[in-house]
Amino acid sequence: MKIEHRGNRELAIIGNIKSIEDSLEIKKALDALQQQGARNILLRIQDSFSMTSTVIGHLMKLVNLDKITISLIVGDRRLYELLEELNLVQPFNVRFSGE
Amino acid sequence: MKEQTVSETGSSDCGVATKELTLLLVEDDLLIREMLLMRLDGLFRSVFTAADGNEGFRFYCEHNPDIVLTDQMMPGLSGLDLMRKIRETGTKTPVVLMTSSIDNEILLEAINIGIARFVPKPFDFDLVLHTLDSIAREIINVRLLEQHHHQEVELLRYRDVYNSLQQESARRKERHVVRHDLRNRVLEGAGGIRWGINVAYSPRDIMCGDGYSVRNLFDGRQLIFVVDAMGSGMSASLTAMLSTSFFNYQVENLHKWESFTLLLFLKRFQEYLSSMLLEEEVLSCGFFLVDLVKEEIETALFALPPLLLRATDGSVRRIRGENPPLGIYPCELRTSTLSLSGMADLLIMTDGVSDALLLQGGSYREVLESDFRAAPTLAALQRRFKSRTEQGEQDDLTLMHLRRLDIDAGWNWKGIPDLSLPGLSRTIREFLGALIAETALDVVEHDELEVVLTEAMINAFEHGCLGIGREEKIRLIKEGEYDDVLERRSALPGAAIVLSATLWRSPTKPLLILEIRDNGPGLPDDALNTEVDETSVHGRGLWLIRRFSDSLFIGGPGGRLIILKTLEGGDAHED
Repeated sequence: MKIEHRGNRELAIIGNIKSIEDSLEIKKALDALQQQGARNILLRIQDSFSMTSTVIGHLMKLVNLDKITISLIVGDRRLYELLEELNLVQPFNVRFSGE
Repeated sequence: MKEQTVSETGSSDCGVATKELTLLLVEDDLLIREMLLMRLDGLFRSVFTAADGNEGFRFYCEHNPDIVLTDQMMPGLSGLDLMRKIRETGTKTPVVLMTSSIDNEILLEAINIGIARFVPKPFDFDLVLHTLDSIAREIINVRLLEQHHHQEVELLRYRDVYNSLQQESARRKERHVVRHDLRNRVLEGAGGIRWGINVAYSPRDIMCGDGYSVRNLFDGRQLIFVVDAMGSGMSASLTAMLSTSFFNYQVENLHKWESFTLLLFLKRFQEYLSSMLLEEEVLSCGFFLVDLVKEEIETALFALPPLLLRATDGSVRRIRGENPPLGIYPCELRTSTLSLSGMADLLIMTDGVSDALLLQGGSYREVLESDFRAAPTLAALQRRFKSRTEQGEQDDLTLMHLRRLDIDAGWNWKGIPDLSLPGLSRTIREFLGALIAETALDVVEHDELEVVLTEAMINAFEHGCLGIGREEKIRLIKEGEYDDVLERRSALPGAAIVLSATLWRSPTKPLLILEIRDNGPGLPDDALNTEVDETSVHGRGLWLIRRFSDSLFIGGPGGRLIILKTLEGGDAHED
């Protein structure tokens, strides 16, 4: 998995989010944006079909505790469905960009 | 000039129909207008009068009368012109035309634009009254019909809501009656061999003609019941639910019996059926008394499809039933005993599975055995079933799978990670590397396995090694401290995690059995029943493990997760 920083409020994640390292890297990148003062963060998750519970938990903390607005653009339908089943489409402002 | 009279009372021999309605009277002749008004006032709820066609149209728009009575010959707009303008508004208000002309052209045009009635001039007032009364009755009849229709629609809506509530309530009851005491639980057998039971239950309708119950008995054995009631719909469902309820009732009172044998249990069940079933009704069902310590199952099958029993070497046997279906008539009850020694798994099903229609024609029983040989888990078998059969047209389906979780297999792997996040990660990578060297894994399977292991190892680490319980986890997340604690807190003294894996290659598609063990207190009993939603702060890890694996079992001592995943080698991911 790779993370690309795009500006001061956008991250693009390439590859599958699957390991402990992936989770830690994403958390660090999100925290860095938050520390730079971003109140709205856009995550483009191009091709991952999954997301670890650690990343989900961290995004929930950002939304509910730190009052950061998160937007997710996901390219893989399986990830969109996973987030839908967890009722996270609304809190994470998830949009499906595939097909 | 306009004269308007509103009268609440009035008397006439000419019926009461008009009294509910309003009338617009358009007449340029003052004398006639006054005379008509005098006679009509009181017969209608309101009478509006207009002195010419233009005024008539204006009043029509303002008051929306139920009937229009108009003269034909007037300055400005004629009666027909007024009628045309009224029709342009899209309304169907009946218009009565008073005319002294018998010009065919006028009559024809009047008919074409939908004049309700003609009244010849000079008019006979009784004829005017009769005409208006007749139109009033038609209007009221139409309105009554509309009202009736509206009430019917409302009633249907109400019934629909009522039925939905009833159906939901019935479904809830059904879920309450069918039981699985051992869902996701590990069962200990002889020689420390562990087993698990999975059930797939898919009602076709709200209420199901199938039923089941998986119960743990007071003596450590398990008693399983599967039923498929004859026919379909409410009747079959009632039979299935009554049978299952009686089974549960008997099980709950077994400890009071002087001696318990399956045969005695069956006799009492048969007695109950003889009073409950209709004369022509029969029941397909199966009883399974599982004794894992003795490694055997006593079965009593009544017209269920054959069981499929697979040995650890992959060979499959079909086990046919001993009895015809149960009815109200007494019959001999026969049981058999199956040895589980050297057995890997047993599949029980109702005929909804074997009779399901294949997409290419024929029934699923033609391919059932080969699919079972390929699929070592219930989830893998269900994937095959779904891909081969016509969805939406099937009967009720119940599948039950008893599976050995400890199998002597050619490939085993074991790793003990350092108790830190990087340490866990390293062990996961080492394991995946070893597995890839051993068997073909497609990219998706590899990544799914990595997600599953990441979640399972973190779960063991936070609960079993750092001692973070549910309450503390919620508090740490709320305080924003959770991540720091996970990275910096030292493990409890004596804490350890062991990851072990077995690859069982006897089925056509190999089965990977993963076990993640820690020496913490283990997961709470309700851990796998917790609903996960947008507000949950725990339970998502287990939810993800279940999503990307075939099956998950938990069982002590300590924290133990046993995860099953069929390695399809890409077959399961073809779209």
